[in-house]
Amino acid sequence: MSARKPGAAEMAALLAFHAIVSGAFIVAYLTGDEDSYGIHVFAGYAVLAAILLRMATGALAPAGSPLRLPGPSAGAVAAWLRRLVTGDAKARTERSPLTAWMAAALLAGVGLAAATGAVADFVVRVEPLHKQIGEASLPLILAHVALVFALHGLKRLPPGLPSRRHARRSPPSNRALP
Amino acid sequence: MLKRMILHTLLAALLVGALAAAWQARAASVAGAATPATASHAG
Repeated sequence: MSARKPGAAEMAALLAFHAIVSGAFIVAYLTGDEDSYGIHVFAGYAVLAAILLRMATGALAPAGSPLRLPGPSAGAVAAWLRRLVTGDAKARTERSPLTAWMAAALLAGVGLAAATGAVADFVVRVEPLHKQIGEASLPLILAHVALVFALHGLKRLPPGLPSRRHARRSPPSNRALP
Repeated sequence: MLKRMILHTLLAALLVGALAAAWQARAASVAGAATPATASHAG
């Protein structure tokens, strides 16, 4: 995870990367038949170029920069889930370590789909593999959208909301009477 | 923030789609310009 919040230029770069990859992926996913093959290829190369640029930026960015590539950690997720279950309100509002896992999975999945597409442009035998990876990328993206909305929903919960576990454990004198 | 990201995604999809369509149309016109010459030569 990044050590500090992104600055204006870094935020613009991250937003541009997200917009180009997601926008070009939508175009590439919706095209690819005989009539729109050129559009599919163009959009696919746009995805590949954006991901390669992102990987290069992530590799060259200094430690602590928000532009560094995500570093997924199972321990961080476990600790975050523990805090969430025990009713720590800050765990609901801060950046979830689950996003690093999702970002890594998306970079790998969509990057692989774009890379195999580029190879299939020259080696036709790779085409079925490219199609399979491309189709598998859609559930990954839908999972990403679901996670974003779920985390957004968590942030909107009232801060004083206790977890169910706490509510069950609280003594009867603390409970509201009907 | 969420709305901005969704809006940027849709705008980028439109931009990439338009550029890609223009690129495909140009490639088709280049191919189309080459085809009649070949056809007339063959015919």
